Amino acid sequence: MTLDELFPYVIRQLPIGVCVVNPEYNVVTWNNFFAERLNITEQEVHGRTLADLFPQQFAFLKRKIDSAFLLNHSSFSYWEQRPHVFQFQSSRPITGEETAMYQNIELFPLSAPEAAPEFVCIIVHDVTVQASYYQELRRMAGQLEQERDAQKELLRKLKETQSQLLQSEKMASIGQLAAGVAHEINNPIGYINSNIQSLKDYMQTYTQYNQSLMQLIDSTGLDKLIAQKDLLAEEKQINYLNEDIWDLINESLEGAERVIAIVRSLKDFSHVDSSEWCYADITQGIENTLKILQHEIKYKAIVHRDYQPELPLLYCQPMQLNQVFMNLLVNAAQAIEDKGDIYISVQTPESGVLEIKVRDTGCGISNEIQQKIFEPFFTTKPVGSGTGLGLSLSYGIIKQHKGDIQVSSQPEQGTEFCIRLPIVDEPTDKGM
Amino acid sequence: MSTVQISDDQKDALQEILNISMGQAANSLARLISCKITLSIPQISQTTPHEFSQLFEQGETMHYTRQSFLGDLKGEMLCLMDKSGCDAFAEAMDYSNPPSATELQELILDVSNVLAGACLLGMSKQLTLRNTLNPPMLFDPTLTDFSNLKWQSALLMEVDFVVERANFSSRVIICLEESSISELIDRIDKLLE
Ligand SMILES: Nc1ncnc2c1ncn2[C@@H]1O[C@H](COP(=O)(O)OP(=O)(O)OP(=O)(O)O)[C@@H](O)[C@H]1O
Ligand SMILES: [Mg+2]
Repeated sequence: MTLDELFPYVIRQLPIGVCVVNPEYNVVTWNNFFAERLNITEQEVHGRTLADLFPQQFAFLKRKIDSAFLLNHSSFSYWEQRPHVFQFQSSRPITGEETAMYQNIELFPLSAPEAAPEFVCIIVHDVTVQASYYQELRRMAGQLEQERDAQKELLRKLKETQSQLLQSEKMASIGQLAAGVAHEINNPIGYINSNIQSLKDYMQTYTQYNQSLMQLIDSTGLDKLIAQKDLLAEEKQINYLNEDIWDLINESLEGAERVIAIVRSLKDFSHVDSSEWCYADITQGIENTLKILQHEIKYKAIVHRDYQPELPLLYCQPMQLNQVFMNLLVNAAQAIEDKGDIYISVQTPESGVLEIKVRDTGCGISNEIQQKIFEPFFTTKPVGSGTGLGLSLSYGIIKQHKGDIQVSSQPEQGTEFCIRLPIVDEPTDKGM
Repeated sequence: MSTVQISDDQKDALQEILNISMGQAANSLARLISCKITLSIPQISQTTPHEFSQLFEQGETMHYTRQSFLGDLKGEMLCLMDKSGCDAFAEAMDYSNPPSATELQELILDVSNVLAGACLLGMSKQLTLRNTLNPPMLFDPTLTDFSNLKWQSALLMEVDFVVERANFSSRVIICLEESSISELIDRIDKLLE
């Protein structure tokens, strides 16, 4: 073989696309790369126009060819900007999923030395492998970035959670402190109360005794003595004292009783052994909770009660349920912007079920948010003000009682939480 | 330092050659886009890596491409284009408005290929040198460590092209490797004889 014979052979076999065109955009020749993919042989293609062969890509090819002829140097096209100029398939029809071929294209003018170009040669490189590697790399980089962002977000949440946990721990210790203080106050207020009670009894006797004494003096008829007694009484303002003493004693007794009531509900509420199971009156628990929340609710809402008479006692963890009532009532009060109403009802709609409803006329909860309110740490309240734990804890407690808690709400209208608890008997297998 | 120094006479001659070849480049581009193009007087300077790095101080406001060439002379062509000008230019070129990111990339690569090709080949031709130009690539100088360049001195030949109608300007810089400088000077000397 001579060199001249050899070269066309090599070009035909080259693993890149070679297509030569003239200034009229007619194909002069192309190699097997084109011929095999388009099923048009070198001989058949001779003289056909690019416009006819590649109608969709013609405008682009024309521009590139013009530029190569005009400027007499190469022009290029890259897969990044134009991935598939020629609609070829990548060369792995069997092993790989067949995809469109990614191409880099170079168009260079062909001319005799020192002459104007007569032809432009279009070279097509199949860069599908590189492109897919590159794209995979990019995809992975993107994924890494996403993962990194997710981690950042997680870290942020963790920090937030940590501070919230700290917060709830603080709340718990405040509860314990309250219990301690309540316990400490309980004793002195107890004897203050009973002492004042005794004092009242003594004073009653004492005033009777005093009155008898006065009457005795009056009955002697000794004017001088009587006048002296009256003078003394006036000097010491005895009449006034006799009245005021009772006011003082009665007010003190009232005050002491109030303190005792508060201490009792504090103690009830933050009972140390708060997970104890026993029979309890649910309405009592609600009332205790309301007493504690008095200040939070008083200025916001009027509380309407609807308790079915003669409710059965419930075998439950009363302190835990109080916690639930507290969460619901605080949420209700917080949902009310200015002034509103809170309706509490306790009923047995069917035998064996106790139903507790807490309804407010507050801001309500939109549908999307309703899905999330029982999730731990979900809150719409400003950072630092809500932990978002209230409802998730409540949910847990109700589940412990084999019950069910549900929300229904209309934005702008209000919200109702409905708790249904099964009325069960104390398990009898105790003390086996 | 073993740097080859270029004399004033040689510089003048080179400038003349560049004037002609850059003018041809401007013509080529003008024909391709049918817009009038003006160009600045070519600047020739020898540069150190540090001075070179200062070319990229405009950072994010510019698009950059690079294109290496081989043959009798070795080096790289750099193209710097103002970003806002590119948008206006794309508009003038009937790209969709605003052009997509890939359309813009294609336009930048095309324009720099035309300019760099015309400049380099024009110069080579006059000096009867042979060169081949590799495809242009987008270049991000922020990803390049200029403090670690392996050369001491390079020859820069810069010229500014301005398409007034589109408010577009582009700076083309032919950067010659140190070893090619003496080859270039040789040719100039032959021409001056
Ligand atoms: N009665 C209600 N009206 C309107 N929105 C409510 C009501 N109850 C709960 N929500 C919504 O549910 C969210 C979660 O309530 P949850 O009690 O779990 O946490 P929180 O009240 O935000 O925080 P925390 O109870 O720790 O103070 C609240 O942020 C609020 O958006
Ligand atoms: Mg809450």
